[in-house]
Amino acid sequence: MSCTNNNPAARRYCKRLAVTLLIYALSLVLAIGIFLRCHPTGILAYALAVLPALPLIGLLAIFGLYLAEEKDEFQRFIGVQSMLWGIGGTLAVTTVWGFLESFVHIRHLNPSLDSVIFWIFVGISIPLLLARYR
Amino acid sequence: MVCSIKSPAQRRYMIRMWIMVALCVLLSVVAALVFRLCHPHDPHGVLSYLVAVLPALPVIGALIYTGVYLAEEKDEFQRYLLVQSLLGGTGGILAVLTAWGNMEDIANAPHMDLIYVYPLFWIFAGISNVIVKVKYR
Amino acid sequence: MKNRLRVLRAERDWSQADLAQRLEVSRQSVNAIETGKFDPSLPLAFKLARLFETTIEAIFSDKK
Repeated sequence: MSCTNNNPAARRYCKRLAVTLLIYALSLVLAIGIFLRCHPTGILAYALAVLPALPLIGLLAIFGLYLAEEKDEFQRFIGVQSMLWGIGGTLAVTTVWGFLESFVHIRHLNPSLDSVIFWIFVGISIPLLLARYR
Repeated sequence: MVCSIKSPAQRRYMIRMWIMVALCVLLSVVAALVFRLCHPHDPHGVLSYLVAVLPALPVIGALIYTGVYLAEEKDEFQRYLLVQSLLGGTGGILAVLTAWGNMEDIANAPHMDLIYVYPLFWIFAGISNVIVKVKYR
Repeated sequence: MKNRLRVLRAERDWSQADLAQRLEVSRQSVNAIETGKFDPSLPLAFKLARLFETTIEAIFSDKK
């Protein structure tokens, strides 16, 4: 699944990834810029805030498309397993943090950091999963 | 899979999950009572953290049992259905969290209580389950 | 994947539920495989072949 692969599905994935990350950076700059200048409120504020989130959500869609397009069933298998470990780890961390927030009032965790946590767990699980099949 | 149990592995899984739900509710009440009645001097002490984390343990148990079910289930199509539902749940919950997180950051939306992430995940998984089942009717 | 499961079932007068019971899977799974929407794994394909006393290639065909 590395970006230097000859695999067409992997190459497409990498291209889409690069484009999406670029769109994310631009939309973030745009949204924050407009916020600082115009100070919108209410629904407009929420809509503007969601804008940079859309490319991030797109990342998931891109990975999903990769899994659907990948013809190599073993790569697909590893991809699916890593996502499951990713969401498992994320849910565990999030729930523990949520209870700690409620009861001992630790620092509030921004929910969008959960996506970062998710991809970290996915990244960690891939080499571990592959190690079993060496 | 919610309405009809199709294998012994599924039955075990359902029972285990409901036990975890009950434990989570019970331990949440216990922890809340402990914090309200005991007023610990040191809210950031080790004991406080341990009590606070108690209700999260059944949730982690539920996650583990889901993995156990996927390992135990002999029927590969049922395994496939659950995996598709979980992936759908993953997509849904991450989308919501990302959008809400941005709204909190940029637009000062109210804080989202992270305790509800897991139930919300299952709601999205349930929706995906229905969609997948329709596809394979 | 295209397959002859329906024909083979009919020859023995088995319903999908009957076949599912013999394979130790759910009727849903049998239906998904029969309609070609889900490919069985190798172990399950071998089980099917032994059950119908034939080869995997005689049941499944990957020609488009």
